[in-house]
Amino acid sequence: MQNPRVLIVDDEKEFASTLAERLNMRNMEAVAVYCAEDALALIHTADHVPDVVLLDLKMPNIDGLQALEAIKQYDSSIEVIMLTGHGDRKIIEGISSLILDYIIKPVDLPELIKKIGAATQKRRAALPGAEGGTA
Amino acid sequence: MSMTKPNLHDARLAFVGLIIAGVSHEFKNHLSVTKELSGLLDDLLAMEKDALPGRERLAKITAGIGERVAAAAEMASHLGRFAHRMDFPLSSFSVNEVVGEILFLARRFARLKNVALEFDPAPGLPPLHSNPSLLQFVVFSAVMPMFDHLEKQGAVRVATAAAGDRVRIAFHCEKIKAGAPADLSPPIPPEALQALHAERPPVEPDKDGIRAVLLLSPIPPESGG
Repeated sequence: MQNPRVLIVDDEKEFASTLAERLNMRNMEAVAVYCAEDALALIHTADHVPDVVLLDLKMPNIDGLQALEAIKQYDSSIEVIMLTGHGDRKIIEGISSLILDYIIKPVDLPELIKKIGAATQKRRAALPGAEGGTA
Repeated sequence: MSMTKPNLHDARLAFVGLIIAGVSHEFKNHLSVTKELSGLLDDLLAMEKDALPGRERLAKITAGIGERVAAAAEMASHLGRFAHRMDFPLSSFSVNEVVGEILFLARRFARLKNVALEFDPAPGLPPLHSNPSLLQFVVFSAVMPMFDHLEKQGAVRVATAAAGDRVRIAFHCEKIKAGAPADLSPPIPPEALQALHAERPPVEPDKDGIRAVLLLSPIPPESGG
């Protein structure tokens, strides 16, 4: 399988860039951006849209919930894993149909890698032309 | 803050809660960065294998950072949830979560007195409609003075149980100092118990080590707290 393509969206720059670096060390193609506006611009212009977006829930300007809606409207096959500081259970329950999963910061890397793997597999299986996908 | 009965007290509590929640969120952001930076250092050390002198010691240091980050993050999570309990005077909540949260945060005070503070939550308790922040205040007010009545290495064990449509919270004490009263918690402000629709039934001396009991009833939604 081709390496998972991961887009990290978090306004905490050092967190996002370091996490991207660590994922890239583990055979992923991870890119970090620091606001939802840049994430949406990248998704709209990229040759290859990401398999998975790791999306921070609370960000200035466009927050994680608005970004989630925009991403799903553009391409519903992109899997989203929310990053959250406190669990925010009620918010997560409210968007459970739009996201694959969520992860509480500080991130448990092995757990995150597992979730990225599952998300990538799910998305690629559903792509047109994929075995068992929506051709 | 209540939309039906706004008052200065609730507004001030919500303000304190908002500040604590915001700061604990910021703490978690810093901890997240610290964990990733420490993890990256670990990754780089692993790539160096044995070529780097002192690699093993550095790996031990990053492991220590990881452990501290995990402990601090757990504390910040509890603090954040505690703060959000002040958002609304009345809500439906899990008594076990609310009590567990305040006991976690009170452990430091128990540790300073050389005693343990344990929680024994009953499974399957129905959600309670009440004032979660006030309940935490009452539980905290009940356990704190108990520490002074215990020998070193003593313990306070808080247990929840269903009691019809009410919830019973029992405070068990171990290694009680000689001459301590039967009921070890101080008089909790009656207005707090009244606002919580809570009762404090009398405690029989030495019955299963129970030294205080709270009986909580759901607050009818129309009462407004």
